[in-house]
Amino acid sequence: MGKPRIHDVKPCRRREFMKWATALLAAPAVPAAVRFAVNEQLFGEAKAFAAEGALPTYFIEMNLRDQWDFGHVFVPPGLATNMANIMRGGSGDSCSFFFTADQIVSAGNNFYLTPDSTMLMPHLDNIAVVEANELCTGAIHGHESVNAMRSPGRTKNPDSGKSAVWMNEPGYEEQGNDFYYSSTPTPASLHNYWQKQITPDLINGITLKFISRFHSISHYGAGLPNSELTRIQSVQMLYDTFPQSVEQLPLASPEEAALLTAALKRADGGFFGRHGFSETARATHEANLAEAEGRWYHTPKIIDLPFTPEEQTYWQTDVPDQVGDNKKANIWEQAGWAFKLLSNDIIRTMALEFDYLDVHDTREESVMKTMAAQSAIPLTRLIESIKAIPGMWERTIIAVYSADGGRSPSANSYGNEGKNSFVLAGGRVKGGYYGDVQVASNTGSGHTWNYFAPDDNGAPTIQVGGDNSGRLNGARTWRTVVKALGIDDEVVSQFPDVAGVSPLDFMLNV
Amino acid sequence: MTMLRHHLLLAATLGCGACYIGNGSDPAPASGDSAADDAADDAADDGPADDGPSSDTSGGDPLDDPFDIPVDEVQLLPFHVRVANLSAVAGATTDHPMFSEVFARRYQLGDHDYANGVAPDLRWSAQKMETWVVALKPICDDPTFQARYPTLVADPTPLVKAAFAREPDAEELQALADVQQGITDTATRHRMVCLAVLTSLEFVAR
Repeated sequence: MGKPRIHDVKPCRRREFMKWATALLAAPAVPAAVRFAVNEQLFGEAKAFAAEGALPTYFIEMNLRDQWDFGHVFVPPGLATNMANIMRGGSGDSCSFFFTADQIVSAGNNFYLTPDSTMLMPHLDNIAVVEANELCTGAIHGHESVNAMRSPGRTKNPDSGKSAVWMNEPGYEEQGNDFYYSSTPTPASLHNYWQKQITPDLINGITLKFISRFHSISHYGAGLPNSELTRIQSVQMLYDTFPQSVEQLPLASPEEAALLTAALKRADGGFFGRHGFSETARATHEANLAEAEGRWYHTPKIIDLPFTPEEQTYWQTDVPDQVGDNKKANIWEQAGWAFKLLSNDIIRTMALEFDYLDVHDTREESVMKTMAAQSAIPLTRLIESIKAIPGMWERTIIAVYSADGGRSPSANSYGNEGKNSFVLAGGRVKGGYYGDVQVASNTGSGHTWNYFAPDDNGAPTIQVGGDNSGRLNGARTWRTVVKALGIDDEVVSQFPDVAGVSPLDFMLNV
Repeated sequence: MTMLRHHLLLAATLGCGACYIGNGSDPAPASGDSAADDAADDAADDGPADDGPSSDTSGGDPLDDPFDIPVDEVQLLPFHVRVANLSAVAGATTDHPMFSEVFARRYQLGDHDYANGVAPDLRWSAQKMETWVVALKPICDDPTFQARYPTLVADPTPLVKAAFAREPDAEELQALADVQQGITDTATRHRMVCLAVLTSLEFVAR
């Protein structure tokens, strides 16, 4: 290749031109190949690669609680190909699966779908599933608010270098959540931090605290400045946070915003010493003040979050309502809001929190079908909506977690056994069902099960032992998400429980 | 006696709340039930009796601290406390129109509504700082407030004393002078001083 074309621009105009070109090429609608080619022509190959790394990515972290089971969505190959011989039913140790063998659809890449999930078929090339992940460890049959996949190295002891992960969750209590400590940020918080490094005036990412019970999801920034997500606890709070119009800004000019920031930094300086706060508290406060300066005067971005009748029909059709104690918002609404906020580049990080009331003993057909519809349909609609925006899919990652553990195939099972599911979708994801579940024995009324984790090629060759050895280390799953999101290794290497850990490259196209 | 009865009633109410949570009292869904979960939840929740602080005060080992106050991040005063303090500083009851923006944004500012699943959120984040300044502006600009602090631009001490319950220190006075730098109109200078005092940690945090 010859001399980069930027040299054709007069030196005095180059800075302005480069700023303009960078902003234009960062738009989601610019296809990656076009963007790279233009960057290469203008700035040269090396800078083109660097520019790709600095582009925004979009992240949706979908946390499904009360030990979610994807049994009707992704059927493990060992069960799908042997279903005619499996005792099925809604109680005891029979397999909680309510389709016959002939209704299961083989979709390639070890995917086996059911009539409840075939709508995902067009997108399977970019969906990866692993379920033999390390188990959740909450005191009540595994229930926890973290999950080793989301914060590898989390413990129940405040070990050196680890801090409490629950401190920013409103109304947090121990039961069903547990108190964990960690030094590894959860994915959405890390992504929120990373995107602000790329775009400092970006509106803060959010998490929708819409689990119906007292159960929660812990999001944890691990001390990274301005990484903590805004906790949204009601639909009205969501609408207030993203208003349909902005009549006036908090302050009238950037100069006033700068004056107020500087004055508060000075006036607040003595507070920390007087009240016994640490230097960490001061640094956190000053980082928050710096971010607030950008919010006290900013260019407003407005969005119409309430659904039009057409939008509601699209997102809601065939998706059952939330099943729980104190219903907050449906999963189809959360998916629709995520699409609106991310596709308009209002925010780039969004966590969804949702549950299906914890059910044991019996898991009848309606339970399995409801969970299938609540996960497969919103995921399908999110993917097809994002794909409709040129260039966005390749820069979007959707990570779906059975956030407090999954289940075994048996109807009466708990989240401290069996599967702990992880679904990754996005343009950078190499599709496939990685791992397996097979019948281990017949009990007369049902079965016991064997689990297989993928090896480094993605083949289901590693049998999980009775002591749960062989399960995928949460750090590998975490690194996979972070690599897919394009976050620098330099950032990751500061966290000891994930530094040096290899991602599951067989799941990625990057 | 009446006071004692109130305390007993409060204890009983709190006890019932804990029972509700402890039972994980899930209404049974259309199919399946949560009986086993409830049993497991109960068993785990009951826990050993020695988890709590000891009631033996007869001597020997010192009692553990009942709780730790976080020192790595400041926390806001509860919303209703901040509102009460604003009311006292402004010299107006909380139903005065100057407080309408505060109440309109109460949940963004960390207030709770337990009946609808909204818990207090007392993190002093950039987002709350943004919302707080929006909510304060009608207070700072209100004639009632301005009449109470007529010399605010020249001397912020009366407002600081009302807000902090003490005299301002030299750094605070300098900060309140700095916040007016380059601003020529009195109304804006008044507003900036007011915002700085009522947004400072000494006023909003604990």
